[in-house]
Amino acid sequence: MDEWLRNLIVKKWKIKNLEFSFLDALLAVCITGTGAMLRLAVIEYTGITSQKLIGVMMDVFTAAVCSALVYDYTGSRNRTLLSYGVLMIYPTMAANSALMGENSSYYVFFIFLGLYCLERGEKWRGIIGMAAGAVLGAARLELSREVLNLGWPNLYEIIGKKMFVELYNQVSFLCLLGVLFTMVYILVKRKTVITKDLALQLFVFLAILIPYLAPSMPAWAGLTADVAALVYCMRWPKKFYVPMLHLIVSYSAYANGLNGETKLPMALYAVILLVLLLDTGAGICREIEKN
Amino acid sequence: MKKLLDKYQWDRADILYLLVMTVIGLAVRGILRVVTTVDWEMYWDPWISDLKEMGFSYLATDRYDYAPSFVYILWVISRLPVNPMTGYKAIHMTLDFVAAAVMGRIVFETTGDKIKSFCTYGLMLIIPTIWADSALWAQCDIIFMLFVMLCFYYLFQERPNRAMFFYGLAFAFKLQSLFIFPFLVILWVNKKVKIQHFLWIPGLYFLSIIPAWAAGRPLMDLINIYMAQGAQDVWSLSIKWANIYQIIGNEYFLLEYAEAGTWLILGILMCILFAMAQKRYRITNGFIVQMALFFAILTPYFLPHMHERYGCLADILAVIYAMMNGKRFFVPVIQILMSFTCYMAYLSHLGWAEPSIFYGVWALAELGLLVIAGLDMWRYMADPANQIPPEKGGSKEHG
Repeated sequence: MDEWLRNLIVKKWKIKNLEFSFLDALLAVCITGTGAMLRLAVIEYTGITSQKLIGVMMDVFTAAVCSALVYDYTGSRNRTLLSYGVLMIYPTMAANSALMGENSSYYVFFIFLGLYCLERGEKWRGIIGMAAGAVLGAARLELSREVLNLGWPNLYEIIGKKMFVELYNQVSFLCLLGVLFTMVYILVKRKTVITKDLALQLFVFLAILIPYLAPSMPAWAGLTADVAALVYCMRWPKKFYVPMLHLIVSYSAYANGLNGETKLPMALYAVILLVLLLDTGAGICREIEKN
Repeated sequence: MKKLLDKYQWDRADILYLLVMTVIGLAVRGILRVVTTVDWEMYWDPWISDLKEMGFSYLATDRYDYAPSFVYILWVISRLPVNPMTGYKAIHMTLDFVAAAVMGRIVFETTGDKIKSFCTYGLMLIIPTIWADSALWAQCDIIFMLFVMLCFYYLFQERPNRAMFFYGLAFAFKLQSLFIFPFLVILWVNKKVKIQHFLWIPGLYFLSIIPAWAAGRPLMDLINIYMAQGAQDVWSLSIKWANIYQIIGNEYFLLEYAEAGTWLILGILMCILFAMAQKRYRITNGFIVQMALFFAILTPYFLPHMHERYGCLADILAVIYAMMNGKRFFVPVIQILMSFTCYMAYLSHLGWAEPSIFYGVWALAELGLLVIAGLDMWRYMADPANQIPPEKGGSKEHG
C-alpha cells in the first residue's frame, strides 16, 4: 500500500500536451482551496460585493498567468506550480482583493497578461494588455493636493511629504519622465538587444521605480512589483530577498493604512525600496554588459 | 542640419534626447519659479530694493555679507525692467543649463563616451539639488559650481592657467569653493599646476572687491567678508548638514568645538596631503575627479557650521564619478538624496526637528561614501602601475 501511494504521487499523467503528476494536481487543488479559505476569512471586513468577488477571481487568473510566465522563463514545472501556489496565498494579493476590496488585481492581471504575450512574441496583444492594465490602474489614482504620498513608502517619506505638494506633483512627474526617457535613450543608442531576461529585469525595475517617484501613490501601489518580484526570484533564485523584502514593505504599507500605524518607521521601508531599486538596477547593467 | 549633425557625429536620437531633456528642465524650473523662500524675503529682496534705491552706493554699506561679485549681479538685476525674483531666478536657471552642458563636456573628456556625456547633461537638469537651489530656493551656488566645473574642463584640456583662472572666479563668488582646494595642491606636487597659477585666487578676489572699495566700503571689511560670513549662523555646529556633529551632538560646546573642529579638519587635510605628496602618480582625469569628490565630502564633514546646501559640489562630482565608474552608480544616488533631504529640512521649516531619517543616520551614510571615495583613491595610488618616480614628474593621461 505504501509503495502504491509513493508511486501514485509521482506518477506522470498526460492530457494532450500537458504532463503532470498526482502531487502537482494535489498542490494545485489544495492551494487553490487554501487561497479561497484565506480570502473567505477576511472577506467580510469591507463587505461582499460582486466587484470584490470578481477581484478574488482575478487573483486566481493573475496567479495562473504569472505561473505560465514562470514556465516560459524557466521551463521548470516545479517553479511554475510553486509560483501559482505562492501567489494564491500571497498576503498582499489576498489583502488587496478580499480584505480591503481594492480590486487592484483587475489591472495587475492585464499587465501580466500583456507581459506574458510580449514574452511569447505576441507584440500587439502584449501592448494592448499592458495598456489596458495601465489605464485601469491609472484610472484608480487620485492626485492629492495635501500630501505627496497616500500610503506607499516612497521617496517622499524620506524628503518630507507635506511641502510644495502642488508643485512637486508636477515636478516629480517631469523628473520621472526624464529618468524614463534617459533609460530609453541609453537602450536605443547602445543598440541593446532586449532579451527575455532583460525584459523581466526592466519590468521589475520600472514596477519599483515608478511608484517610488510618482506622487499620490496609495498603499497598494507596489502590488505589480510584489508579483513581478516573485517571477524575478523564480527566474533567479539567488534574488529571493527581492520579493521577500518587497512583500514586507508592501504589507506594512497596507498595515499602516488599515491600523493607522506601523511598527517600523515608514522611512525605513522607503530606504529598503531604494536598496531594491539599486540592486535591480545593477542587475540590468550587468545583463546589458553580458550581452 | 545634416552637415551639422555629421560634423559633430550626432544623430536624430541625440538631438531628440537633448531637446526633450531641455524642455523637461525648463518645465521643472518654470513650475518652481513662483516659490518665495525666507532667504529671498530676508536677504536678496531687501538687498535688491536697496540697490534700486541707492544705486551703486549701496556697495559702500555693510548691509550685505556676501562676496561683492554676487552683489554686482544683484545690482544688474535691480536695473532690469523685470520682476526682481524673475530676473534673479532666470539668471541662475540659465546657468543651470550652461553648467549641465559643461558637465556633459567634462564627462566626454573623461570617458570619451558621447552617450554618457548627453545623459549627464540630461540628468544634471533633473537633479533635485540643482533645480531646488536655483529655481525653488533662489540660491546662487550654481555660479561657483559652474566656475569649478570650468576649472575641471580646462584641467582636462591641460590648460592649467585658464583652469586656475576659473577656480579663482569660483572663489570670488563663494568660499565653499575651498572645500576642494587640497586637490589642487596635489596637482601642483605632480607638476600639473604651477605656483604662479594660484595667484589667480587672491588676485581675482582682490579685483572683484575693487568696485565695492571704490564705492566706499573699507578694504579690510571686504577682505574679511568671508570671515564675517563664517561668524554668523553659529547657533549649531551643523546647520542641517549631515556631518560628524550630527553624530556626536551639534548643540553642545558650540564655541569650543567650532574652533577645535576647524583645527581638526586642517590637521586631517595636512595628514592626507602629506601622505599623498610622498609619491608621484599618473594624473588621469579620473583621478582628478576622484580626489575632488573625496575632498568635497571630507571638508564639510568635519568643518563646523555647515549649511544644508554645502554638499552641492559633491553632488555633481558624484555624478561625474559614477559616469566614469559604472560600479559606483549608487554614490550619486545616496549623495543627492541625502543632500536633498537636508534642503527639504530647511525648506519645510523643520527647525530643530529631525527629518524622517535622522541626520545622524545620513551622517553615517555620508561617512560610508567618504570611505568608498577614499579607498578608491588609495587603491589608485597604491597600484604600482600608477606610480612614477618623482624625478620624472607627472604626465597627464586620459582615463
